[in-house]
Amino acid sequence: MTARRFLRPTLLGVGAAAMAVLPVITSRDNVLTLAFLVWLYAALAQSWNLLSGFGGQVNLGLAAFFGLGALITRWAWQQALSVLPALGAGTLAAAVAGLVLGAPGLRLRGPYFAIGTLAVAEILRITVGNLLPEVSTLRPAALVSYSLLPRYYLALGVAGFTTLAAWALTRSRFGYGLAAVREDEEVAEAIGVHAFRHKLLAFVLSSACAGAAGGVFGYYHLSFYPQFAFSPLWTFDAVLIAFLGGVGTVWGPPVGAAFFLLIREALALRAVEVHLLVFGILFIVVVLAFPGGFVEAWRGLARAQRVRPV
Amino acid sequence: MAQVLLAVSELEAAYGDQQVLWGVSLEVRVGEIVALIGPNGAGKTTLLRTVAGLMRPLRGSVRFDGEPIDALPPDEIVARGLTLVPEGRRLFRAMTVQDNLELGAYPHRARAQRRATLDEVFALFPVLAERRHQSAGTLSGGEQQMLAIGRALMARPRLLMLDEPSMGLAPVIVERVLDAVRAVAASGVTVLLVEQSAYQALERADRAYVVREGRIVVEGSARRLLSQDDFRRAYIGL
Amino acid sequence: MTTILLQGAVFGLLVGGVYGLGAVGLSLVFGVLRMLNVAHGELIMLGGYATFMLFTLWGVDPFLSLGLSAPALFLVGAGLYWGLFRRLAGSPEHEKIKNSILIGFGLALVLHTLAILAWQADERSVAVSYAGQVLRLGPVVVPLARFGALVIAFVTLGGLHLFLNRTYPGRAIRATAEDGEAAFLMGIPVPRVYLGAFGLGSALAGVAGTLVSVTEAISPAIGLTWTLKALIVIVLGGMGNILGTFVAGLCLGVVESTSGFLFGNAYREVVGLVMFLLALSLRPQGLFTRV
Repeated sequence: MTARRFLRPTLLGVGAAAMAVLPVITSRDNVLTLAFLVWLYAALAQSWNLLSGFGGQVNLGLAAFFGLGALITRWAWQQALSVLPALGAGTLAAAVAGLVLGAPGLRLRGPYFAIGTLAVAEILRITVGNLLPEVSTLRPAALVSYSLLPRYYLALGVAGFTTLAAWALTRSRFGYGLAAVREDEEVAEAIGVHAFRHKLLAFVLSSACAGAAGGVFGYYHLSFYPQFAFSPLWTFDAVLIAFLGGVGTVWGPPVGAAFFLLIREALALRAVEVHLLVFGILFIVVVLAFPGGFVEAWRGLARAQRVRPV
Repeated sequence: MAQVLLAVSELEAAYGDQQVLWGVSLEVRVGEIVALIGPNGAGKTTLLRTVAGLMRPLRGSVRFDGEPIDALPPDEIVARGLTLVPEGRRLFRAMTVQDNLELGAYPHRARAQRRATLDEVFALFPVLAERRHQSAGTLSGGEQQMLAIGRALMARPRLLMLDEPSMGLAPVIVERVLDAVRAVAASGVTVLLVEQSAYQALERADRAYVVREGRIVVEGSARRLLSQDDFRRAYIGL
Repeated sequence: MTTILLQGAVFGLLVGGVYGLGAVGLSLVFGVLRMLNVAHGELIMLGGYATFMLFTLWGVDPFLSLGLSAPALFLVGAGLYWGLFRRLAGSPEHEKIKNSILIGFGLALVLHTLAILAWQADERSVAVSYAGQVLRLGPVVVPLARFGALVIAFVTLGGLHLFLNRTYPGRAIRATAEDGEAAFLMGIPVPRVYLGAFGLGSALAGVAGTLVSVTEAISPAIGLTWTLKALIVIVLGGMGNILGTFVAGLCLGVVESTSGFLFGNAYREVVGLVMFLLALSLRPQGLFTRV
């Protein structure tokens, strides 16, 4: 049925439009904040997904690039740069860091790469914590003119961009090459895919996106401790969300982010720690039982529906 | 006719989606040397691995001394008296010859008698006694194969299975190794031998089965098969 | 000046012994099961709290409490293996490592949070009566508690070495580490070996935790730090090599101590992590060869 072909793009268009006009429909801060966080986390999880889901290289140091983006963007913006160039600066800084760290780092095999990235993030967190121990606050002028609206759209934009990047990966030659590298690096090389180049480019892309998400964070928060942006919890949340929604899928991170934040809101009524506990357990369960996350489960259901045994 | 020690019946096995064995049935009777020959990829190794408990069969049964063992893990099968010398020997290269041998006697029953068994193994393979404190990785190919066989014997098996003991060895060494296998059988251990060197295996075996594409295609007395020209041409290439 | 450096080096050795012990458990688990439990630091933390509880509630001397905290952590580790990591045992190797890292990541968060709920986030330490006493070796001052910790670490590792090389179960563990399938074919009950090895690795973490509680402060947050230290030591010392791991632990201790002196305490950890990255890039399989 030809109508079917237009179903998905139409839904997407409607959804995007709805997200865009949300601030017009409701001016309730808590709804907008929740939506903002969904976009922020979706963007971060998607950036992890680009390298680790589509590329198969588990990156446990995502917080390093998130933090870097947050720091540089915040600094640039406070130097009276307007927000978009500041965000650009943060993104660029994260991308450059990705290049500098990825070039030597990606030569390491899987588990070593994972713990190596973890070590890098910790080094940055401790160093930043020592160099910039004071909380970063906004100047009075910025405080007065603070509005959630531009931040909301910025987050939506970054989330949209990262999801677009993920979608492009599923349709581009580069993406196919990356998938080949993920499945079996030796075989990929044998068929002419330059594994290192693919991994490095994915790493830089992933770092840049994480940096952009960090930049949004840096623009959003009234005050924060710089080293907080480098906390491994950001990496964990991103990984958890990607797993919940479906690692290596385009819609996994956004879906996972929505689920994650709704649960977190529901649990926020209780003690702060309980939600960490719940998510830790949930993550373990998902890794063990549901390697494909929601998206896979949904597709599995759809498939089961279509192919009904006689 | 001697008692049936190992009875494989309609065995089917697969690696993931790829089915390898399509209903294999064979018997090994006490005191025999049974040879299993056939081309590469026929499923010989899969058969031994399934019997040894490393793989679960899809269908069919394996009975050892009348007892079904197809659902048992390898360590329990070894404890019942059935051991496998795996393809490629799989020695613990970082450990000494003596350590390798002693580890072969891990099951309780075998551990209690390990000193006596060790002497028997050294009598069978004097070269191992000479090198007992050497690291297993430093032995020559033939010596490694003897160590692998000796290690399997330390469990005091009633039935010893060997998966391609001649692999990677020079022809002269192959002769020596297979003679050792015959000596093992002479000492009272029943033998099931999977071999690429079909002629040499059949020379020493009582009966033989030919496996092709996961099925038994020929079976019979080794001597009789060897004497048949068309058999020799088809499966041995002589 | 030299006295200060010497003091720093000696102190580093004392600390490094515990680093080595903390790493050996993780190395054992990785060597046998090919799983990297990045919640290992949390197990060390739990060992510390076990000792703290025994000391605070019943006045049990921490060095004596080892008889309880080690078996307790053995059971915890065995339980964690049975409930979680066992499901990975059949996967292909690269999947196993990757998933064990991920599960460990989640587990670390869970254990960290449980510890906060149980004991609050504050730092605790086990203040024994002899904590202040020191030995004097020439110009160098050696805190008694830390010296005791080094001795315990050394003895434990020596015992482990004997266990792995002279006993049947120990050799079965080494055989399983080298070739699990071949070990299975020898009649070694490989699934039970996996369980035992994971429990043993956790017990070693428990011992390390006890020593940490006496010589330093413990809090729920020390988990990640200790996991990273263990990883650093393993990469420097080579996986599966007890002597190498111990020596690497000593090296890390000395390097941290002297760099703390040179760059200030705040960057102590950073130096270790940087050394780790250097070691990774130069020789990912460790600087010492397998023993």
